Amino acid sequence: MKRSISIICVTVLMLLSFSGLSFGQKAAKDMQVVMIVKDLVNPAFIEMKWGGFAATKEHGMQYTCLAPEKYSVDNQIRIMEDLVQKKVDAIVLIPIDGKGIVSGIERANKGGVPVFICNTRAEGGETLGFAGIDHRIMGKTLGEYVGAKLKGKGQIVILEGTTGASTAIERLEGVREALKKHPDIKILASTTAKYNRQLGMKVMEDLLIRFPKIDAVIGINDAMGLGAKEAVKDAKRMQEMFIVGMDAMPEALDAVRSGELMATVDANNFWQGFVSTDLTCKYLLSKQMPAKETKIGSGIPEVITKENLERFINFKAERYKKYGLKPI
Amino acid sequence: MKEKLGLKITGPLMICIAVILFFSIFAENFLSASNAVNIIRQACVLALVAFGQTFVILIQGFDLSVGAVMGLTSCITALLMVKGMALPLVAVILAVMVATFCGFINGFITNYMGLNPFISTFGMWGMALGIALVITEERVIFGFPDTLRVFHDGEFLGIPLPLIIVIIIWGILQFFLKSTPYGIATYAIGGNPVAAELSGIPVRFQKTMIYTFSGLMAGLAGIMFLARSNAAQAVDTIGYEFDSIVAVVVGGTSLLGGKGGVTQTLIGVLLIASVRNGLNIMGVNSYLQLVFVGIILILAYLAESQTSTLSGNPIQNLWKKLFGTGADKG
Amino acid sequence: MNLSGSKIWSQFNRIIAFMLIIVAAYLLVPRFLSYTNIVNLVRQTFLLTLISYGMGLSMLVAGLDLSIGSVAALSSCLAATFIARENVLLGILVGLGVGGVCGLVNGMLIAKFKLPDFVMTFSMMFIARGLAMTYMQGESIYGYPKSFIWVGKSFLGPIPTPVIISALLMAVLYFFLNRTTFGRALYAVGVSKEAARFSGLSVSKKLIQIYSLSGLLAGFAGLVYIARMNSAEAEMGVLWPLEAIAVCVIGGISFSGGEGNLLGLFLGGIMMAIINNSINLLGIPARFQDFFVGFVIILAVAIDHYSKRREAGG
Repeated sequence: MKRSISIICVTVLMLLSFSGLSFGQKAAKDMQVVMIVKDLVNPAFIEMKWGGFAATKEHGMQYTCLAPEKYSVDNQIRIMEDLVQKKVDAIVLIPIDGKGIVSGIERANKGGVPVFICNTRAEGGETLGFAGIDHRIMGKTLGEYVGAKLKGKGQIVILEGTTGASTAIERLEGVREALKKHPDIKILASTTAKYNRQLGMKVMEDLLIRFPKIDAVIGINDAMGLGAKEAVKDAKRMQEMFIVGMDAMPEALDAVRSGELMATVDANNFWQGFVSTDLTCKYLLSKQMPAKETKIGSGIPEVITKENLERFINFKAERYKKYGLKPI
Repeated sequence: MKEKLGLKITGPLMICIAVILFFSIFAENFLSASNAVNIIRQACVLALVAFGQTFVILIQGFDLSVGAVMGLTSCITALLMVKGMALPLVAVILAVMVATFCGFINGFITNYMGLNPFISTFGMWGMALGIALVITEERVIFGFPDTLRVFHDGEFLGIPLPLIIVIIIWGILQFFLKSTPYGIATYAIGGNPVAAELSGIPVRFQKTMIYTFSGLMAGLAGIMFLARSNAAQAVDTIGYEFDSIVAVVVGGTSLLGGKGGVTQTLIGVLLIASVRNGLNIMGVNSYLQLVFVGIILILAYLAESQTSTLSGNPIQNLWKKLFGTGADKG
Repeated sequence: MNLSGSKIWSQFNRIIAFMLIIVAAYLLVPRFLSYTNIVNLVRQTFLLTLISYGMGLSMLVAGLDLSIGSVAALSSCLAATFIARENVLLGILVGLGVGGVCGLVNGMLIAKFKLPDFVMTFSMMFIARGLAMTYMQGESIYGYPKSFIWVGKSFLGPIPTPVIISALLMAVLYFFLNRTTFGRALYAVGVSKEAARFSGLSVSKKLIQIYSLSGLLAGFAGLVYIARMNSAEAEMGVLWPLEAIAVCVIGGISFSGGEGNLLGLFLGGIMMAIINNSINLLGIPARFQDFFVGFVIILAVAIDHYSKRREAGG
């Protein structure tokens, strides 16, 4: 009789421990937050990754950052599904496409994994909240800068991003919106270079042939802007125009310093990642729902030019140092 | 009987089992019921496309257009539904008909105009992608009724609907390939086209039909993809053409034609889906995953060719292969 | 044995087409024939052929090398690490070496283990790309010493240096293909592996040599590219396999092997360069570009195919 009771007790205890029941809250150090970015090639997302890393470090939680190898929202959904199987505690998501990702968010909802959206809005599903800087605002800020720099008059070309990519579309819309205020600025050509540096160079070479006078080149991302810069340099027409990009890549910052690029736009990516992850961690610890939308800094992206370059770089370096990271 | 059901223990099957064992140890919850369902749902789209690709590869061809045709199908369906122009079922049928027609064009250009399938299907890829981009104006189409989602999320008697669909189609195709004259003719055409022609098989016609079939499967896969993501974007499915070829080859269907089948493809699909899922759970960088997929592709192919053509100790064979004398190599 | 006269004749259709296209382009966009654009076209042509030499060689032996872009990415990213630190010579050696090794692996597995070229080079494409991306972690390596950049940026007279490099390479390959037993053996293997084997050629040795060469050429092309871009990143060369195949196929090099020559490859390069150039000069919107390219390629190949059939059928 005694033996059977002890066997039953041991069995119950074993079952309880295997089923992972915990009496009380899970400890912070056992919680796992995973950030899913769009890719791990673009420095913008790498900065977001480190932002998330810093935030989880502050709270003592485990952290991983994953990205699909193909720029496809379907692959992001796949990663989310797999993480739900793994029963992670929360996901910080930067969707490749706000509409396509909805089914992935719904699956996470079904699996009981909370999702926080960062950088690119999601158009459905239950989420903890949103924090980020709009791509449209980025485009608009850059467009306004170019308009002001040209004093409202001039001829420009635009190098667009990957066909169909939501960031490319939104940034372009922002740029066009800003430029509409300057009717004397003519857009000679707006064509895609697929966010690719090599293609940016090739397309720019052809555009230089087509148009004997260009006043400015807008690259919807830094990679294309840098590619275009090489083409303009090779054609010895750097004096004729100025080139701007978006993303504030380290290489772009160097180009701004040397004057080859006139400006780039910074979207405070590190902080986007940090704030999003920080709010998520706080939610996990205290069940305190974050605000539906949280502004990042001032909410307006910053145009980086030679004037504010050093201050910007120092500010970034300080911030990275604060969280024990090497600045990128 | 065993042959008819395709139950040979092939190399790829062994690798598949090894992979599953590996992940069940190193990836949390890999072997759970919910993850199994997860993998099945993720793999169903690829399975449908890969079935069509299997047929094309069996006749010594390949279809590079399937990714774009899938995208075109899902975009057409989505557009028709969102504009309220058609009931979901009608939209699906129309879109799949378009996909089938694309497959027919592939087949026609390849077999009646004599162009290399690489060129004709690549051209179709460009055209289908272009048309999809134009009709969607490069935007994402969403906000249409949820009716189609049941194909992906639904269950019947506890079994996920996509699995049922895939199994039924697999059953039909397996029977077709192994037990009907047309199916056997497919192997003949791939194995020895000249002999096939001489024995009275209408080779060109059959080949064209097979490309048409591949278009049909791409269409169905596009619908399943739409059911999965509930939004349509022209460029989302690009890449499936290569994934489907990988799945077919990993499963053991030979690129030289005439050998293989849909069962092998199913194993290939399962293998790839498991690897991706397991690596995601283990938190492996997606770019590193590419490396693993490449290595597994090589291993699976080696496994298949070694176990089916050689006798003797596999280690011995490996040695001989690497350092064999020139005399018997040539 | 190809007399040079018959070689030009075999490309006759292509030469005619090429002239027609130039006339058409000029009529549509007068700027097409401007000095800067011609320099542009010449540069683009030779860059296209540079990435296509390896593919052309492997197609001549009835094979295919899909890994060229990824191998170039991997080798040049590794090379760039040294070049950016002023170790230019070491960097170049690394770039060529890594390319050659990848090609060697391709060749060995294809020749000794009978892996189909498609499968092996496809896997290598994944493996090399994955390694490159993992190694670079999203960063780019830029800022090379002048001694290296001149490869990509300088001019010898009016001609850009990359053009001269590519042309020299073409000349060397021409010599090998047409004036040595190596070249003759290549064509033999391409026409029929069995026949070649019967006549005593070591087919597997040829295959290993060709794929190693292709890898080496990919590494070489990668170095020229990063010199031109002044930057190395893991995503480079994604489109190379497709572009190279297009150039080779338009140039008359057949997938079934043994058919085609460097002159054709060169003409293929010119036509692709013109197509790409027209897209931008004409301002064709992005959504039509893929369609346009796909359509033109099919058209070019179909025309070539029909004219050949007519010649043969009489």
